[in-house]
Amino acid sequence: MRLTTIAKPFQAGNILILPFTHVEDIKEPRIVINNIEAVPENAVKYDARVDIMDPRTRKRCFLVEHVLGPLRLVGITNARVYGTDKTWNFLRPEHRFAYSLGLSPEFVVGEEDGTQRPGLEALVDHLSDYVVKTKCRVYKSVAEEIVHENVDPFGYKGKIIIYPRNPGEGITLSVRLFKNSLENLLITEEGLQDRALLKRILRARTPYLIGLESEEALLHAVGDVTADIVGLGGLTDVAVSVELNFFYHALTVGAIKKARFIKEVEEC
Amino acid sequence: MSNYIKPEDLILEFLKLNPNVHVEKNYWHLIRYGETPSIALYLPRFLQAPVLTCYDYEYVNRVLAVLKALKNLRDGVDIYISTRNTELPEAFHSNLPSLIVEPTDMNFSVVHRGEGVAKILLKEQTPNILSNIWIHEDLLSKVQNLIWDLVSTTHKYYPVSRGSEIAFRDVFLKGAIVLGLDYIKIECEDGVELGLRFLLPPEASEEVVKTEIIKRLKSPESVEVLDIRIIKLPARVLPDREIHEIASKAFAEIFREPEYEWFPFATVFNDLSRSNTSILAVGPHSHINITTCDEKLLAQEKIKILEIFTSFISKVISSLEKK
Repeated sequence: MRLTTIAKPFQAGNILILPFTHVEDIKEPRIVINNIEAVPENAVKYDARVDIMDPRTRKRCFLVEHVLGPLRLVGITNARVYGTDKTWNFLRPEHRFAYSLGLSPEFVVGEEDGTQRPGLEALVDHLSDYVVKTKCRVYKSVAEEIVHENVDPFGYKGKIIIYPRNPGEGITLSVRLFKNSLENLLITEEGLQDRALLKRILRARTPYLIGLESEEALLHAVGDVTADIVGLGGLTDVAVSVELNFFYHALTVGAIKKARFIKEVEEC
Repeated sequence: MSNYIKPEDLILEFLKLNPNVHVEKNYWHLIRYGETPSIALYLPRFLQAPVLTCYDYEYVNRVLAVLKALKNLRDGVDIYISTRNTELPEAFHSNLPSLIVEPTDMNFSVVHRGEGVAKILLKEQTPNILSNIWIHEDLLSKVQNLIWDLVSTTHKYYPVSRGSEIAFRDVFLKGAIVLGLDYIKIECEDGVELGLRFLLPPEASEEVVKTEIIKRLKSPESVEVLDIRIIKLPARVLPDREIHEIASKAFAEIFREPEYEWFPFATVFNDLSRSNTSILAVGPHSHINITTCDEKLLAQEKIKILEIFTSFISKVISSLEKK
């Protein structure tokens, strides 16, 4: 898969997405949010949401899944992202957490209505204007099949299997959220192939606010699985099959934290 | 009454561990172990009843968790424990690094909401003649509607309103301005005076509370806000002091990376934070449990949490002693 970045700064709701320069020095998918690397080892909270923390500065960034999933779904593998919220909304637990630590609202990068990232919809019809492919072609997958199971606090079982794939095969997702499921969604270097579905995912609200049973909840969960496995893992070729429970980030991030990776730079 | 257990009986358990000092003021007890304390632990009781009721189970568990930790480590610790819901005497405001053991659901809490009172007037010129009961009924009906408008919280995205599951509402309500009823006084001349109590988050002023009250009214023109007074300011201490560093390290070693959450009402934390910023509130159970008689007290999970909490306190005390 070729690494991609954004051609020029783009404001998507409460985040500003900036180009990633010097991709050739990186040679793998890499998203940096508020100067914190979005990698599995930096994920410090993963249950109802995902937070990352810089182990050196101990600065924390909240709700990163609503950055990582949407970026990869529109086909951006490398970017720098900054939160831009300036006002507090203390009804949000993440804002209260940030305020407790003396951080500013910018450190919460999820939207207040619980959607994935509707601000990226404007990009979807003009992807070629915004998303630029670099000359770096890389491969990153899991070194072996990962099977991870857990039980959430409500007693629901979850199970995820991550299969390695060969270079160029891309990413496929099969996601079940209680009674609803979607099979074999294909994500390539152009992002999610089904553009209409992509827009619906970007608008989908979290099951935490709308319940688990609706189709919208499933669409949101697809974005979250993309974030936790593909985004945090920085993967290019992998197959994911998952039966989600309620606080499913414990399952998905738990799995990617267990993974060993294989990497190859094909061209750069 | 003799069959009831009194909160004071718990103090006897602390005294069995041979403290050096025991002083009582305003239902607060200072119990000192060792000559030179390096940490203060505060154990406030939130209920007023003179005997322990089923609602006190979270208080009793907090206390027992601390007692258990003290059995192995009883030097260099000041315990401040209250047996009623009363103000902490100024003399008991410690300068030591302090843990405030409150039902924070094992979250670290460095922000507590403030509290205040408001007085509003429903402008209704109603002769309060009880014999004309239909007039009285009409008035009460208006008052009832007004009260519901005032205390009802709604939000365009979050399930904060009545009817949603309490655990979900609480996630969001912890940061809201919460209004409740204190009293109703029917005045013949001016109308009906309502006394309100409120909880307010940091960064909110009396003006913000007034705006919130007016926003909730269906007919603002019929109501006058007479007075708004903050009684206890919201409190925040930034978690950058010795107690926070030691507690975070101990917590991460025993349990997990600490998560921060606000405590929903003003406590001894708010008073102490004015003179001591090396303070942290943390404890088992949730503030919801203060008004819940939990039948599943002995559930394994809760025992496990209490044991973790006991180990955590022991570790924090010994880390501070070594310094």
